[in-house]
Amino acid sequence: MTEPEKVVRLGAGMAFWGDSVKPAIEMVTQGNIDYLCCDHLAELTMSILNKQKAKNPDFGYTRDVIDLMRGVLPTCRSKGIRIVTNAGGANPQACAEAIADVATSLGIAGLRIAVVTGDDVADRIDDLLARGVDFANMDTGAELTDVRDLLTHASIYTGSEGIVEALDGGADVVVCGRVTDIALYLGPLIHEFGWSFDDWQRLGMATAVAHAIECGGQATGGLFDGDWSDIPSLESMGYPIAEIFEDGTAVITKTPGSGGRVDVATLSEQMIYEILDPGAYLTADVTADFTNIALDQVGENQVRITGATGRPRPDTLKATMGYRAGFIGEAQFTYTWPHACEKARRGIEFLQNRLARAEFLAQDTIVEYIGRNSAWGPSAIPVPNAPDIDEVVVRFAARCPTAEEARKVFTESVPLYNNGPAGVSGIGTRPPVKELYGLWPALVPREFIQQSVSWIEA
Amino acid sequence: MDTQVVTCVADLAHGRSGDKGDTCNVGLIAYDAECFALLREHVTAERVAEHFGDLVKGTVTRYEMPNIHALNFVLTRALDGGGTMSLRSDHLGKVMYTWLLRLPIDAPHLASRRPDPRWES
Repeated sequence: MTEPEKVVRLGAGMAFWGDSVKPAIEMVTQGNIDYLCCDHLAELTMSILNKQKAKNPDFGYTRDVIDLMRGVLPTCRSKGIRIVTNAGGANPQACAEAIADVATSLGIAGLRIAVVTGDDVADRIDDLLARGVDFANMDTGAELTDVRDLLTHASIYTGSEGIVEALDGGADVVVCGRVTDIALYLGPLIHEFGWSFDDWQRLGMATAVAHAIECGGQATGGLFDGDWSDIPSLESMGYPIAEIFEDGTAVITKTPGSGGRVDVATLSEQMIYEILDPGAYLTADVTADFTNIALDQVGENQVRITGATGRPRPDTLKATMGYRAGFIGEAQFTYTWPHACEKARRGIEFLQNRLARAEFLAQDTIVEYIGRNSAWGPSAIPVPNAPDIDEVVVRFAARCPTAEEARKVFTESVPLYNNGPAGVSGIGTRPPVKELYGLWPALVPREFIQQSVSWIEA
Repeated sequence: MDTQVVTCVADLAHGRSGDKGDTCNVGLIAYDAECFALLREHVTAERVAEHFGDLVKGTVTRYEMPNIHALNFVLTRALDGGGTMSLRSDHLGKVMYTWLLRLPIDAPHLASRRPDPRWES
């Protein structure tokens, strides 16, 4: 008798920092998964986390991981579900210690937590520059000297090797910094199936599977644009689960009994989400080719995914660096019928004239008529002129070199309260001055980057 | 309800968009093979670039994923400096696809596949 085909069940527990922890809790309880994979990091997140770490050396990880662990650890422990997360952000060690504290408070002993590091190169930039890594901006070609003194962090999108080492070593929880979202999924699969790190076909196929589910509810009916009003129970949406076979293909489903929908349409939208050339989806682990992906409905809320391929991984890794890029100042007012748009335009003119007198400095400004043209801009819909419109919200925003300049947007707009056109509301909130971070993408030869694994036991 | 005919991309496809730095990608998924053939024919990179106008400062490149009836448009310099820098309300490009859904398509012989009742803008 032949043994049944091995299947590894990966669940996508979190899709971003601040995502609800409920789908993950339901998934570990009802989803029959082997691994819970949680992505907490977006492009901007690393800037924010590094800023928090600079203020307090115990911070710098996404603290939603505490609620997550409190909710899932007891069940994961009893069922043997292992957790892989990049919640470590800018401070994986502190994150792991916080998770250990949660385990202790729940009475869980003997939890093995692995900490995967090696992605943070902020302290190595001078050394790497000296070794010939130029950190030229991938998009613009600009030299790093333009922003060298303004950098807030430098992290490398690292791959799955560290996660595989941690799981091979018996980790119950793997805490990473800036690994790729895909690596959170490839790591457990390489560990389970024993794929080699140059098995490009399997890694490419599994990358497509990981891409399909790594944004959580966006695969199961969230943000769905097709027959969106037919998606059942968005409020209790289940997050996606991939049942992956030894060849890297999978059946994608979701937590049983949950809301949402997994079908060819919902997954098709997610397959094209945030990709560039589908023939060359570059990751730290493999160059995947999604061109000939096929999706087939094989049951209710069950879709088989096949057809992806892979080629050798790039010789370089992507660095994501943040730099301080000034401040944004914003003001927003609501104008009402009659002549709402005309009043709004006059209000903006009032603000612009006052800013000019205040010798306002800005690199760029924008005026949006929310409800008319804020989504697609004036090139799509020219400045509105609709005398019978019920109301319009007008928003002014400016990129400024200093916080002081950005604050002027607020102070110079306050007089609109009683000196500008009538029929205005919605002003007078606190000054919304926000620091801006630019992103500096660059490439670093992979031989300079080594992950390492350390251990904490709760 | 009267049968509506195809007048724009929304009658043939649904979509999704997002960001990678200052690049926005807009994916369209045709409702079926016939719709996909029409999309391929009518929704060229050139037309998409013209349709977005000043909203996109860079280039438009089109890619195909034929088995799922999808076209992917990659729009560079499309998000006012990217999600972390943009002054736009839609700084992550999440609704950029909806503008592409409004690109006119001249195919009055075909019934719209759009699932929801349409309403006038």
